[in-house]
Amino acid sequence: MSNNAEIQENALQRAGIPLPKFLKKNHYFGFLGILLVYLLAGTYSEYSQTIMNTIIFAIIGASLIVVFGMAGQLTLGHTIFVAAGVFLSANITTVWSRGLETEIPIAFGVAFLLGLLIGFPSLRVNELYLALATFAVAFVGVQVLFEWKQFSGGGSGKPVGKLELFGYEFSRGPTLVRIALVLMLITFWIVGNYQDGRTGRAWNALRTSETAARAAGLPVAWLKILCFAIGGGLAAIGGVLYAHTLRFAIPENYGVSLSIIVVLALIIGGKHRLMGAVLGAAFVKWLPELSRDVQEYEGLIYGGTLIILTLIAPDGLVGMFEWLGDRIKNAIPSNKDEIVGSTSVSASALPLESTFLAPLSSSEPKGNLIVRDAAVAFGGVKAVDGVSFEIPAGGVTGLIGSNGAGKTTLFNAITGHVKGATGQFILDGTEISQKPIHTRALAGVGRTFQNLNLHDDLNVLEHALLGLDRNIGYGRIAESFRLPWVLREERKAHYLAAELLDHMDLLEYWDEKVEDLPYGLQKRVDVVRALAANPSILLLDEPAAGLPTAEALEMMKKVQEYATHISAGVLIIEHNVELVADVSDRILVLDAGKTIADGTPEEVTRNEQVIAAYLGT
Amino acid sequence: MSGLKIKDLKVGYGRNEVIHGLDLEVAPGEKVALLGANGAGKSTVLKTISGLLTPTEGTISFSDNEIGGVNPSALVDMGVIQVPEGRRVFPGLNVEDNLKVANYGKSPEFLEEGLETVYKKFPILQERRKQAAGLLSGGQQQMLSLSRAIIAKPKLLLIDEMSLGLAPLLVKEFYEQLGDLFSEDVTLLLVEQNAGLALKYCSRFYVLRNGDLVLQSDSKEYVDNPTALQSAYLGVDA
Amino acid sequence: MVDYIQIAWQGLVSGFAYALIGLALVMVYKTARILNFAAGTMAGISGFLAHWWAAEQDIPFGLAILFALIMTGAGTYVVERLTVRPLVKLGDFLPIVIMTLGVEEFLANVSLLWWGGTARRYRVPGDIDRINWLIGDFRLNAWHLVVAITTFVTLSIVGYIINQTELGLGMKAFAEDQDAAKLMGIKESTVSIWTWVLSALVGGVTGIVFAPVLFLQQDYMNIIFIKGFVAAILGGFLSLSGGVAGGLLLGELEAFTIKWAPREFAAALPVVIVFIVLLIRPHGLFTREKGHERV
Repeated sequence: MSNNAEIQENALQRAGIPLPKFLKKNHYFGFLGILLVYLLAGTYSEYSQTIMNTIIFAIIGASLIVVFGMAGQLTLGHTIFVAAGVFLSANITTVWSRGLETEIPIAFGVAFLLGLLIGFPSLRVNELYLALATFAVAFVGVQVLFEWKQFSGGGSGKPVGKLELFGYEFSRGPTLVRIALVLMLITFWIVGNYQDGRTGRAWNALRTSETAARAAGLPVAWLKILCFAIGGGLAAIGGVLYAHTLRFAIPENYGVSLSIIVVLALIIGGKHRLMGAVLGAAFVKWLPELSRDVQEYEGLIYGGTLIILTLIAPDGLVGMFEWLGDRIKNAIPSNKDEIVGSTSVSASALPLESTFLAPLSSSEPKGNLIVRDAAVAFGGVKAVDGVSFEIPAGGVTGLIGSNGAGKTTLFNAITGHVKGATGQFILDGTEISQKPIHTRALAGVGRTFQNLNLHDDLNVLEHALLGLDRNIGYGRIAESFRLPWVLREERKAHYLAAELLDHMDLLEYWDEKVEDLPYGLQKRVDVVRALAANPSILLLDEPAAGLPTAEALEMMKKVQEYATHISAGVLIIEHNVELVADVSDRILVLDAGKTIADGTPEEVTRNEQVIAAYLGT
Repeated sequence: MSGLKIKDLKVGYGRNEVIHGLDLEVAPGEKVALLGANGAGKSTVLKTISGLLTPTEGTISFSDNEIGGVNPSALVDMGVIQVPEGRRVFPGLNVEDNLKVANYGKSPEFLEEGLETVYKKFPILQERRKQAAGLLSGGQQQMLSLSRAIIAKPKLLLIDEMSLGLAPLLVKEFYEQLGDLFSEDVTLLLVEQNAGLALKYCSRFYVLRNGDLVLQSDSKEYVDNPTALQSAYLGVDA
Repeated sequence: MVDYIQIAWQGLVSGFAYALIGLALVMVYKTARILNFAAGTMAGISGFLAHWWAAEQDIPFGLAILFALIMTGAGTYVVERLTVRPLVKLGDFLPIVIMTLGVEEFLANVSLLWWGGTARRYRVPGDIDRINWLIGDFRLNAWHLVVAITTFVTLSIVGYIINQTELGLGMKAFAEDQDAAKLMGIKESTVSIWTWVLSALVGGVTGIVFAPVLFLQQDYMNIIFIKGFVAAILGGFLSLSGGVAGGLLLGELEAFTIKWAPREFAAALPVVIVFIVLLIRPHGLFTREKGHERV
């Protein structure tokens, strides 16, 4: 085992990929920062209210990173979870006379369930409707709280009881600040663990391209609901702290205005980074401290800042700092060349026989696809009109046809990306007709996209890791606390991903943001994402589009090698007939939604009907 | 008046360069075809001429005016009119409104005139003028789309794949009518996949493949034997 | 029996507000596919301006309304040019929506600074809002009649613009197929600017005419905005008349619910409706389902 470990570590080191660890550089900085404030908490007690508010808003900001920063769900009703935490706290401390040990779990639990409920609409509507729906929830939520006098005390609100933990009472002031810091540490750590784990990657993927996320087999619906639940639960913890700071809970404070402020704060700070949550909270809570006047002009300042940032710095203050940091870094010569040099050495090793890729090889050819009477109609037009064929396992099949022939529609009918397709689709004996996209993906359908649908904000390595998601063996709770087996699985996945990247000659770019890569490399990333899922059949959607034929052929060669290794079938849609003829064992030709030819490349390119269809003669 | 001149045109979507340096000319009043298999980039060229896309490099001029990257509405004012791929009628608007849109920003007399002409040539459009355009058949939508172009009084007419999704007989009819529908001096750039029909109507042609110009010639060389264009289209030899 | 008519009329009057705001929201959505979160606050400021000018600055009522609408239109023009247009090029709606949030906060603060936070009631010419006619047992408030008339007039004007003018035709075409519209010579910036201004003016009229019905206070139009949104959802968000119908329906539902249901439920009604509609018919009650997913 340790021998293996050495080989594994060497592989990643060659590429310069850092090993997934329990703690990262950022963790140390964060911990130091929090420690500093902890120790100083006693000294600046006149600021402790502001510091508390900043901490609370940072926690709420972190919870919003889960929902909005990562999963991309713009929610304007987030404070309903804060309100839940606040009022639960008020009631638990007064009516039940219990302390934090009860408040926190119950607040989290109730908010979690509430989040599951509120997450539902996100499945049916696009992000825009969701924003307004949550806006409505916030507004009406306050009304409901007002009316629910028993729980909220109506307009006059409810007092909050003592601050205690397991019967031991604390005074407010510095102690409360310290407790808050501990909770902030925990919350940030949990959110950070998601960012470094498979759920964070999945959320980021669904934010940037839901379609591609589904095609990778990610359970998008559940992920959406989950982000509301987790984000809500964490926000409620902030609510509990808020209750103890204010000592009084009034429904009026938790309406639309607060929801908007919370979102504003995160966007100003930078919605993808935990540091953004802190900066945003500081901006919103410290600004009024600078002068009394500022309080009057809050809306002008926040609103104005938001408008300006949206126009010039969409990644918020954090984004601006990072951009500055990048400029400084680029000015300093780096030793990146050395690393590149060493990966070229690794390219000569045969990656397909590596420790991780070898077990994937299979002698059982996969990818037998049976299509019977496939039909798709769009408003009276029969795009696909009763197509039947069978692709034998393990081969490369081309699907060509002139414009409007229906090949893209047929392709999308196989992957599940088009609604209303009838007919039967069977993959290796499993029926996939009528099943949703991610179910088909899990059944072995892998695909690339004509317009790539890559994920901005994820680097090349993360794209590969996305494809591997279904094989990564840890649950969300373990992920929250980065338990030991999380690390083990992450490392395994990283190795596999690295080997895969190496095979497709992408290893040196592992850390690049995909939007910075040239087009040809972007296409390869799309392919890697699909290959990482270990598909039974790989459907390539115009893999040569936009590439010079030579480069496309090279890429296809690599794909074929890998496909042969895992014995998967390949189906290609292409306009570039030359390329398809070169790589395919067999070609299917469509015209006006029907098959007009099915045979070897030589047969098909000489087929008069095919030529007539293309040239229109 | 010096017609359409395209020099070294490069167009891309994001990082993806789709047209790799195209040179193309259409003299005033000439009818030229732009052929090629799908994905070759033909529609991209038309979209760029019409201002929907901006060239990354190269120049486009019409009547000695630089038109690369210009706002689409300015091009319509200049008389550069496109009959888009797939007809693109406004499905929720009725037939008459679809025709009215073609006269957008111009004087109402032109509309009167235009409607008269169009209804005479395509009586069925008059019959269905209050029907939603989305309910028309493919052929009728093509009539509608061509009619919009007639009303717009084009100087440079760009037609994108008229044959797409239409029965061959219908397409043949449309081609035969083209001379009737538009005046003789209209400069025409016709994008087509169906070489046979296009060559019968146009005097010259270009063939695009994967964004590169691979062949240009006079139609009479190929009009009797369009199959010979196969290798230009497909890149594979017979 | 008269009771029912009274309640129904009450529902209709509030329904007019929801219908108008719903219309304003759908207008912008159809053309630009974005939601203007500042719509409620903008409408509120219009209302404040008109009544404040009339009551506190002694400007004749009609003139005050005119000035308020002009300012609304001009202000919207500026906001659209400066903030919306640059973001449209990005192709992603989210920054624009977020930006409207910023505008909302900004304007809400402006309103607070200018007029303070206290609720007030300005007098209207002839104190029409205090005149009540009795028709049998049915009580008809004169201002409610004004509201009804204003709503009809506004809807007619908007209907005329959309259906009978070339601009309206351009807007409709643009909403259906942007690229094809551009090929017809329709300018995106013209359609955009007019959509926003028209939408803001409809909102402004609503704010002005409903101020005497509600109390004038800092965010009095926000609740109307929410309900206008519900109205738009009921209508499927892509249909102007659907939004109007949705508003009237919501008004009626609300009026009858308040009469018979416990107060907590009445408060939650809009949200409940939204959830239900979104779950079973996300494309609205009055529109037919369209569309298929494309990759």
